Amino acid sequence: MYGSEAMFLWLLATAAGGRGRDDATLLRRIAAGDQGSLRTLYERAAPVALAVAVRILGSRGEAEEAVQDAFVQAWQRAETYDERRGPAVGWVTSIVRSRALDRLRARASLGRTAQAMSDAGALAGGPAQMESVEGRQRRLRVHEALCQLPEEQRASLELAYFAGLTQKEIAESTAVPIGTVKTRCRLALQKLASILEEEGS
Amino acid sequence: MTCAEFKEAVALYAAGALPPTEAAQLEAHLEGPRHEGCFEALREALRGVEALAASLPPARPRDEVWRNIEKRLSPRGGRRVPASVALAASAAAVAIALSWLVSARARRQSDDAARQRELCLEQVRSLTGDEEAQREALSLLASPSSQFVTLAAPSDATQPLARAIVDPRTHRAVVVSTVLQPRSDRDYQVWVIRGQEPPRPGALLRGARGTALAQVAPALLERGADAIALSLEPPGGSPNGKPTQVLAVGPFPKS
Repeated sequence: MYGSEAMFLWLLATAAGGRGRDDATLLRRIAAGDQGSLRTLYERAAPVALAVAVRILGSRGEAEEAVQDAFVQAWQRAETYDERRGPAVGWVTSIVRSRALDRLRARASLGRTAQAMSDAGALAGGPAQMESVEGRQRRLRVHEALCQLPEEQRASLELAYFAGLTQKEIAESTAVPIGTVKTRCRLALQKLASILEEEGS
Repeated sequence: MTCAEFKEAVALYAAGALPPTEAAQLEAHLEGPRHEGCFEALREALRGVEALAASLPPARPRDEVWRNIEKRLSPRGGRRVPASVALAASAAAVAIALSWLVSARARRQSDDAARQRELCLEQVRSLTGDEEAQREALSLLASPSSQFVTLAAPSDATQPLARAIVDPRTHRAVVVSTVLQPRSDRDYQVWVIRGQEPPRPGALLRGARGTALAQVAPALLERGADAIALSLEPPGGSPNGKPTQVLAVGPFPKS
């Protein structure tokens, strides 16, 4: 169940809108206290969510703690999920991202030196993620699409999502008006969304 | 906010780059009855965000991550915040909850204080609106005699809804939360509980997107307290001087 192939196929399906009803049912069961449904959500979402947290925090251990906090929060707040606002994996990944950014900001607020570990180093210590050839190829295609975005679009999006900067902070750090930041993020997300749609069609 | 304005800002919302007040405005817009492609625009932006996340090499969590999550889940049926806790009936429940909270707090005390201080500091710094309460919170955080109280649902001590930064020596306290969601039809109110006396109402906890701060008046704490509680009230606070719906409670530290 942890295979990225399954994960990716699930993402494609949700991108096509095919899992909205399933997501709503899953979250209703979680809200009713069904731990098995939470485990199902965890199996679907945790590999991608952990990857996001590791990217934000640069620390596998802290990232796993953020994942733990987020799934406990998802358990508490499952009734607030609204399938009209996107799939469940995206919902819980956004919670993981928020908890990871909380930790990043708390770290920064204490003036700790950011010991950004390399991706490889940060991922060391956990079990290897088995990834099928096809799944890896698909992921690389998305990654390639990301790399093909104009640098300023990719940078704006990554500063927002992985560094947690606000539009104002991005505008200041990149020395452009806020309106330009909006446009860059919008174009970047449209392009990435179209990649998922192409993969799904 | 118009649908056009929503669609212009939705990419930044999906990417998490909007400040809390603006994000709350977008979320409020979605509650409206009619839309011109707002949900479609939101879903497209979220698909882009999903693709961004999916471009990273997936990382399987270690097995203990799920085991730790399981340990933190309360038993079925016991984790929900009670729909309503009447004041008269709540004294015993609060006493039971307090004993549970005290024991839970004792277990966590040794390794939790530094983390609580970090989290509170970041939460307080991110707040806007109530500058006086913010200054008071920062002052309390700088005080070596300050302690941290977790306000949790009476039915589940492991699920914090807010924190209080308390200095029992100087009778000062501030409540901060980044979990509670703002509601247009309700306010959150702080209460001070002492012995069998009726709970004394404190400040309202207000803020955007669940981040909020409330200063507890020192006069309420001068004679000490047993607990601090948080309730859900009609706009403007409790209409009758009693908590309408108790959401969370935490033990007040002794000086």
